[in-house]
Amino acid sequence: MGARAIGARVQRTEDKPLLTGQGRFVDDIHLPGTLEAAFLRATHAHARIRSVDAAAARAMPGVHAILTAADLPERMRQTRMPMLVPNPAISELVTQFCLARDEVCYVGEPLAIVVADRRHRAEDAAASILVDYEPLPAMGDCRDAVKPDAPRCHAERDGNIAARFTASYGDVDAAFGAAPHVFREELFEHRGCGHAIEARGVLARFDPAEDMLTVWSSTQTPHIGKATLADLLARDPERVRVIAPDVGGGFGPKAVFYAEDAVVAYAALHLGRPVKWIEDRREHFLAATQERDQYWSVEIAVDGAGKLLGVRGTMLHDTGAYVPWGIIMPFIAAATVPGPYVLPTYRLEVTAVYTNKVATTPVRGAGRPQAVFAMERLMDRAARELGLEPAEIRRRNFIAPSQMPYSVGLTFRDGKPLVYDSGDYPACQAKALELADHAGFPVRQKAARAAGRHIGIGIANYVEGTGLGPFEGVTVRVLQDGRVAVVSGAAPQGQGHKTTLAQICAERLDVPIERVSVTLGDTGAIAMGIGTFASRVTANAGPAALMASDEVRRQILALASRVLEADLAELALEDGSVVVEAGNRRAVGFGDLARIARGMPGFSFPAGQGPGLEHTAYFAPPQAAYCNGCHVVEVEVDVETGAVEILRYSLAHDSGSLINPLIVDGQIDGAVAHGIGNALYEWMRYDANAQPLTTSFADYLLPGASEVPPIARAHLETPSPLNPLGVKGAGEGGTIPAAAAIVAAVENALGIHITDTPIMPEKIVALMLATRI
Amino acid sequence: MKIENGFDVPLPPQEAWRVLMDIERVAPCLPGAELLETVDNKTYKGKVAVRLGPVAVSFLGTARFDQIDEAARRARITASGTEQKGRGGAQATVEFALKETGPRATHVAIVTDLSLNGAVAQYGRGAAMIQDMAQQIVGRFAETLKVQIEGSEAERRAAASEAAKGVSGIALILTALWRALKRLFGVRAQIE
Repeated sequence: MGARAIGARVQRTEDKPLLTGQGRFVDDIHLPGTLEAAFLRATHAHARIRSVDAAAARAMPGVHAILTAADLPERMRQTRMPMLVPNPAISELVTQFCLARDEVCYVGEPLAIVVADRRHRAEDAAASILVDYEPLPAMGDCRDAVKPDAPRCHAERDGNIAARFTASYGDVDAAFGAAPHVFREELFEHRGCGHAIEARGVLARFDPAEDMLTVWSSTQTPHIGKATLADLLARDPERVRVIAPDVGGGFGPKAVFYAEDAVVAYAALHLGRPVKWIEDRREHFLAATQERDQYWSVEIAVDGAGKLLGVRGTMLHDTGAYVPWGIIMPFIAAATVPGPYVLPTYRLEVTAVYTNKVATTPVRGAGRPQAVFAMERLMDRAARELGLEPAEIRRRNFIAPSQMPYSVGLTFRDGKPLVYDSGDYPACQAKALELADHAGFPVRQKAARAAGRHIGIGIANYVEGTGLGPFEGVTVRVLQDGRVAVVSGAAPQGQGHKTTLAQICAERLDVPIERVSVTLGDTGAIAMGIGTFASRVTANAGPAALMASDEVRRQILALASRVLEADLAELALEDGSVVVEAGNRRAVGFGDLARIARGMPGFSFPAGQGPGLEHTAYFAPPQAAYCNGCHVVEVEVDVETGAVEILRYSLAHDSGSLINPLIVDGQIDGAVAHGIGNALYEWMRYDANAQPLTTSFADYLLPGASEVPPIARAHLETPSPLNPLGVKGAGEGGTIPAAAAIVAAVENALGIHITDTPIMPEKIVALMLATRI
Repeated sequence: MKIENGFDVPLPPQEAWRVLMDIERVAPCLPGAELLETVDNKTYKGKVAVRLGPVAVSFLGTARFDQIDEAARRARITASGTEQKGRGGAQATVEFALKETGPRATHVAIVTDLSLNGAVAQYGRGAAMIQDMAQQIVGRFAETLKVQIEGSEAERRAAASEAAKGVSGIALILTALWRALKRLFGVRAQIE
């Protein structure tokens, strides 16, 4: 088994406990004496807080404490949440306080925590707190907020512009001036929320015997949580431990460190009792970060043969009330536009503007789906105007494999020049077209039209920077029972990290995968870690697991050579033992070697031997690794209701070498489902006063099993030269081109022109009426 | 959210005006409303309860005439209330204008600028639903008021106790659904 582990379709080791109810999520952890918390949240999108009166609420049955900003220790009261991703373009930096002090800037901003013996009593008490608000003008639309005379989203700030920057290369104006054809599009792009099946959750316990604050959190980034808690609570970092137990999905919003995390931890310290807060779905709609609105005004210049000459335009990004992750999505979006095409000149002027809505941070795709939508809409427009097949205009503009590594001319969000490391874009599109039977589509469409049905086909390509640094670490340790422990800070939320890392270790040490025990997401288990986001774990923790395993392999062989009195050249690893490949095949098991490596009290080690069979390796990639893909979608539209049914979904993608194709299949399918939601269903609506309107799954639609068709996928494997496994990320790619391809297919089915996403049935019907279909 | 609607009163304008300005008399005609306190001759404290299907909300707040133009028979009320279970609040300015439409007939045009906040804003998603609801509340108010003006003592008492119950959730939803269906078929008719 060992020798074939990397690249094999290994069943996920995580699945049995999860599928048999043995998972252990935050709310499954029951500590004696636990109190339950609820938050009092702002009902106004923007208001001054004149007073908060919790006297009556404090006297309600079961209430142990109500803490407002005034009740927090000085450091917590004075400190805003950290901003994790600095960018010099940010001119006005505002992040949230732990609890609002004198101003609330979005509906859902926490004002107080109520801790009671039971959750419902905490909620009742929260509802009884009297808040005297002085409503202030609230900005609900980023197009209004950006106007110079607009009311301020933050009363004390100079303006609503969070950041302005320009991504550009080449003489774009000269290219447009000389271009035979220029086409312009005005696009509105909305992306909704992450909506992990498990919402946020925090359980905090202070143990005075150990002087240890332990926080179980449904988070993507436990090490960032630990560092931030130590800062905010002014605690020795060694006395703070953050554990991400089983986490039911992340998708980006759980990468953020939230005010609630700190306040729950403080409540546990303050009360000397464990405190648990489990976010309900409505709170998740209100106060977990989201993506949101972007307005793109872009134009494309092409020559008569459809060759790209340039793209230029502006983009307005609604960043919400705060910038906990800086301006990462618009920044990534601006760098993603050129995609797989030779684009000689480019300029995008980006403005990120505050509004009085919950902050935006990356959701699966992180600005890339919007960029791909913009670029692919422009490609479709140019194709239509020039009478070319959409696939053909793309084919004429691809970067050739011989041009790799290809320098785009921009700086990516990892701070490094945007250089594609590898990929074969023409082959990828050709494969996707073949899976989709693209050549046979005109016949299918003609037959459908004859039968009164409206079917259409759409195509979209993307290149995605994945495997972002700075680093991830893995410890590999041989245990005295012969098993191998693998530890990493890369906390999983369903991606199968345990299986992937175990496969790498099992192969290098030649042990059965069942004997590799993986511990993830516990800051008590490994000193340094970053977390799971940006399709980064396989490309960061994967190589670290390889490096640590190889060092432990060296240690095992060196020790076995002494124990077995055999030359290294004669030794082989075999199924958890070291065997002398000569004579009567003497062997020693890993467990025995681990005991020997512990040493004997008072005895010196022989020369060359160190303690234990253990190594921690950190891998820091030199830059992002760029994966790519092509999606082809065939839809049918009901012209009476505007309902869209996806008939065929075909894709080819290349995320470098695969550790486990089964897991990559699952990542792609899930990501496509997310993209289908973005294209057709998910719309987080606010009214003009920034009051959220869609705060349940009755109003905010997610795609279900019946909306997600079987997906035909092909894996291309162009190894990345950037890491020893040749891997790239695969967690987000399926989402990125989905909306662009689906919208193009709907357009093709109806002969209408679509400039928005998502497209609900009412929008489709309105467009049909306007176009007189 | 701007809501425009209106109702008719079977009285000449000068009498209609007098009746409508008698808040203690007309408040019981408003479905679900309860006048709790007359602070002064322009300011009133009260409670308004509305049921929408399974959701019952109750606002406690203050309404105040901040413009009264008797000559033009126009008035403006500013009202604000807080939902009693911490589910947000509502602010409204309501402008009334009376116009003679017949010998004993006055039309009262109402323009309401309503803003909701917190959970109640989410219950009311879809301005159309809230406008339908507002129209029904005004319609019921006008009917009750008509009985108050023209009806017998027994009819008046029956109408007042009916109004105190508020607008029925089921009736509201059925009417709103009916209107939504009419809109849908309107669209379909255009497609065909």
